[in-house]
Amino acid sequence: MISAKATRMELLNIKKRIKIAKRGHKLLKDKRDGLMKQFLSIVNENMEIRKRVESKLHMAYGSFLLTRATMSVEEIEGAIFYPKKESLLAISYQNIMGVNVPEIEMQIEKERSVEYSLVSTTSELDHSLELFDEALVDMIRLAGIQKSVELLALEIGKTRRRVNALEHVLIPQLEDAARYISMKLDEMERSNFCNLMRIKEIIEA
Amino acid sequence: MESKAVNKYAYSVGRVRALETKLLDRDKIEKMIDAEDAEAVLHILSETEYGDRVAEVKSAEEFEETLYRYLKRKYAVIKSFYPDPELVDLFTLKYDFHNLKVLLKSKLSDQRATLIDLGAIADVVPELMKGDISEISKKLPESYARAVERVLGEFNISKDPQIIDAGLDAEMFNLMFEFASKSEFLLKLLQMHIDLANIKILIRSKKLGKSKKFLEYALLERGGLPKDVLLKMYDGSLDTMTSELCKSEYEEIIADGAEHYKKDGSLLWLEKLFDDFIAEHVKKAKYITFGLEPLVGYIIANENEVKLIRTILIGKLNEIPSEQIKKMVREGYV
Repeated sequence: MISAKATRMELLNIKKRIKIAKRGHKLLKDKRDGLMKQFLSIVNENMEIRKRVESKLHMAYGSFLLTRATMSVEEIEGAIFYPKKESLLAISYQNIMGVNVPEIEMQIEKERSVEYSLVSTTSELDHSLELFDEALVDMIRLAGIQKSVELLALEIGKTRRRVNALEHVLIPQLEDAARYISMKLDEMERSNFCNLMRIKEIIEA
Repeated sequence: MESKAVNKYAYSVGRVRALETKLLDRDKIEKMIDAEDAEAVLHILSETEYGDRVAEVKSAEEFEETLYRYLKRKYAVIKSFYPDPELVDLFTLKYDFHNLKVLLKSKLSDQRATLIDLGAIADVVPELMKGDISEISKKLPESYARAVERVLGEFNISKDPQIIDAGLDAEMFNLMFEFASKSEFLLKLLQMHIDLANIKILIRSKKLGKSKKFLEYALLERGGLPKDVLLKMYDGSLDTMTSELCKSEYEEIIADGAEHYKKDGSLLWLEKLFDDFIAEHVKKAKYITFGLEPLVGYIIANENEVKLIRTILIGKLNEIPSEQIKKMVREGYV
């Protein structure tokens, strides 16, 4: 219960606060619904890319297994541990209803770089590295989307808590306070009226 | 053949013949391929020359690590009785150059990769790993030092890590020619190796969409198929390249490999055919009574055997179907 002095001034103040709270409540509710909509579409995209990454990784590991069966660990490690490939990682931010979500885009050099010997490695290595490349681009995108989902979920939680606090705590409390003050004022008015009546009677008697 | 030469080789050929009988035969290999799991493969191996190694390890995963040690011991045994121990070095050059590649790349990239404990410079390399890059060529035997110097010189100009692998590959084959210069048989073998490696480079480069400039650098010299002929082929499509290559002495394997490639888009089969082709060539020399041929055959058979065990073991550990393992496994020598 909000403690308030039972004055007309206070009542006016509280009524003003109720009006603001209700407007804020509506706005936040709209924001929450908007975020939810965005969230669902991103979650769907997330699922899609995740599935794609999983199937690509599955293929890449399958192919790498064949590489591994034809080369020893030392040979594979020695062939690929000094890569020369350059890739570009660009992070931009997009504003979704006040939430800054990252968008990560990865670009890998177009011409496949072959820094390892084509004599002492088997061709399956080319294939599996190509598959891993493809998977990596999607994995990086997935990382960006995953982060967006996380940020949006946080924001939705925060907004929902605010909406609930307004709806179930602040607004009822303010309304109670307003009712209390107006009842108190009415009460004071009635008692004043009675006093006036009595004074009138005393004077007339 | 002169009697002196006969005497020189008589003892060692005898030893090789005795060792040959201990190579895995087709029956065992097939049993291993059809084995239920990696443990069963180890069980089969425990009754062979690999028995000691099997007893050493706790799991099938560990066993693979012992394969290089197995080869190392085999090379030591051969060197102990063979009249030209340098011949063995010809076959361990690929490990030397693996180690050199790892060494240079480690120094240049500040990262580490595992060395292979095999070959003529296997004892020196771990030491060099700790030292400075300028020390490397000082502490290596002269022929290796020259190769390292040349490759490093080129790297310093272009800063392209690919130079290290491709450059050292070229240097390795140059050295191999030096080692092999005394024997017609070895020179022919080497030439075949280079041809097959070049064909592999040609097809893989095409698949990877590499430029002609890259190919010019990567292709090896001194093969039976001249470099400029191969370079000219590169302008055509993969199909025309295949039909061009079919005109060479490798017609059969190229045609067979191309057919498999069309089916599953993989060159694994062709690579297997390459290894088999060389093994087959060596096998023909198996019955030369006195000379280095039987020994060369035995060394290559050993290497293939280790490759074969690795393929089967990794296959079994990862539940690759037996059919597919069979496709990857090289033909045996026996």
